[in-house]
Amino acid sequence: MSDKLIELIEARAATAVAIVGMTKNVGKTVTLNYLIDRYTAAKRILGLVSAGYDGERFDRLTLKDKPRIHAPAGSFVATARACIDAAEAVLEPLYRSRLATPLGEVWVAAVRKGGLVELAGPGSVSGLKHLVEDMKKRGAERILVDGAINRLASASPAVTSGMILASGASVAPVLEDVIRKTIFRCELLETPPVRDSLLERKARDALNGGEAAVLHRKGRDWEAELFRAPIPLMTGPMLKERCRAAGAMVVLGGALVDSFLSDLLELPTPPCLILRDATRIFVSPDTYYRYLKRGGDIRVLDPIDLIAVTLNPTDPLGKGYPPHDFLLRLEEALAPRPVFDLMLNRGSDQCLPLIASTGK
Amino acid sequence: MPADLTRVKPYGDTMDDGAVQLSFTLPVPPGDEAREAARQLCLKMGLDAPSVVEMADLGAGFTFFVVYGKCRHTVDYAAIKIPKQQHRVMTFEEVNAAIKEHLRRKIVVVAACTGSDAHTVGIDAIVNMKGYAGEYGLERYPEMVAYNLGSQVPNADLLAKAVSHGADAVLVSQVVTQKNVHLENLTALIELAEAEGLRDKMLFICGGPRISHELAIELGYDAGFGPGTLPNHVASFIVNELIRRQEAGK
Repeated sequence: MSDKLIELIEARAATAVAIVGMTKNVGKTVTLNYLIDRYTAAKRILGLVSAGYDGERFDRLTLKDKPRIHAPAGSFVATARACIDAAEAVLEPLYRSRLATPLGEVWVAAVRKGGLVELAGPGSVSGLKHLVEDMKKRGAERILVDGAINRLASASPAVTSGMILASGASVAPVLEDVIRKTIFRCELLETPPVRDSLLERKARDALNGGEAAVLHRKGRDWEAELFRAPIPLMTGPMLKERCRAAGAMVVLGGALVDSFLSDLLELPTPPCLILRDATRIFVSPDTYYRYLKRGGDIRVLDPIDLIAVTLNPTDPLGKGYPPHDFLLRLEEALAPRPVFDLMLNRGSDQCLPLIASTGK
Repeated sequence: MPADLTRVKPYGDTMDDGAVQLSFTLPVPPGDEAREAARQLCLKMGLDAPSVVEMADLGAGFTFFVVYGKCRHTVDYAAIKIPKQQHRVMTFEEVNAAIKEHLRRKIVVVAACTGSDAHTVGIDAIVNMKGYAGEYGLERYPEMVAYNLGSQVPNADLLAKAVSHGADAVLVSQVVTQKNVHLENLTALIELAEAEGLRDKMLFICGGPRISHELAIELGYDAGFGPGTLPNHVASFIVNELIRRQEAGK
């Protein structure tokens, strides 16, 4: 039984780890349960929070059973008030966050007696960040932030310092598309940081003063031309005309969308783009690869650490693949990124046991 | 005799007799073999003493059955705990009065069907003046200003309009099916709002025939409304939540 996934997390000393899905039914909760299981065996104090709704009895759309979540005694959970009251685990509410969900405000609670919990968390990056910090202060050594559907909020560098991407058969109807889409998502998430420290400082300063900026080369230094708008998206049309000069850098405080990238492709030399982080990229593979091929560059101020990819070879709504073949194909395609099928390691295609095991 | 709530089973004529009625169709012609097939199927489903009380020929080799049987299983009703939605519903008048008293400004709502979705029935029922089922739509609320942007609105346009109107709440309607694409259009709006720094500045509410409050949490929305929702339900949520945030911020 290998614990390579845990070793990868521990090697980075990542206190808060996000589990992000490519879409629904790719095994986010299975990955979460695996980590809970291993960390419980290693007697680590866990903090559990979800960017969505986890551990519910059945899937609200497919009506199929979902894996439940067992919170071990001594850990912390952050979940909506109604879920604290309804939990099988014995929870002691410690802190009322005032973050709202349809199931009431989110509380941080200590798990006094282990048992099943439903995790309903806040939808926002600021809310998740607040809860992660609170659980850290209370002594949680590893905080697991489960994602929701395909949302990236939990992977924001403001919330977690590393992430695991869950992918699987339900990403696309044919294997080639599953592979293509997973590679694309990995490449976006791994958008490299700005390596020049002066440039990085200038870009950060610029975003304190405006929603976007164009940095013009000035000898060894950079001069920032700031753009103000109600939201960064609205600066798009102004930016294009100002970054024709060679070596100009565009700093974007918000989302990078397809239409903006297409506009920039009309310039003779597409400029280098600097974004806050990779959760703000909303582009199609076509435009993205065309931009890079034309010599454009995309960088981030706060990089995301993609620790590993986990796989679910089955799709509850469609066809699945033989687990070994699926793992091999994806491993090959995603190399050198570490890829795991956590069920395969257990020699079982069933759901994980509900009760955390002790030191397998 | 009161029911034992730790061992609840179906009630027919007497307590705990487990009586249930099933109806289904089998792709076989009617006859003794069909009757026996229906009976065996019910045994496999865990019913004792299944009795086929109706067998009707549907034609083309199909047969319809009604079967009575006794359920062997029980459930522990006492152990069931369901997290419940915590919204307080107000009337049209109460909503307007609450806005006047606590918020003291007009509440701006921007609504749309996003992406490729052209099913505006839901959003029209909630927003349009005439409303639905005898409840006025949000446009009729004197203390609210509602903009209905219609159908097939791109996410970026919706956010830009929401900002320029100074929206307090964004309503999005989507016919979500089991196909993930509809879900991902809803999550894309939330992610875009987050990337643009808008997520905490307005309420994001989704609605549609498959939307529940659990799904709304999963999607990252502040609330979700499904079938049977009336305009005052949505208005109540918006106003209660804005008041709650105003007080939490004090």
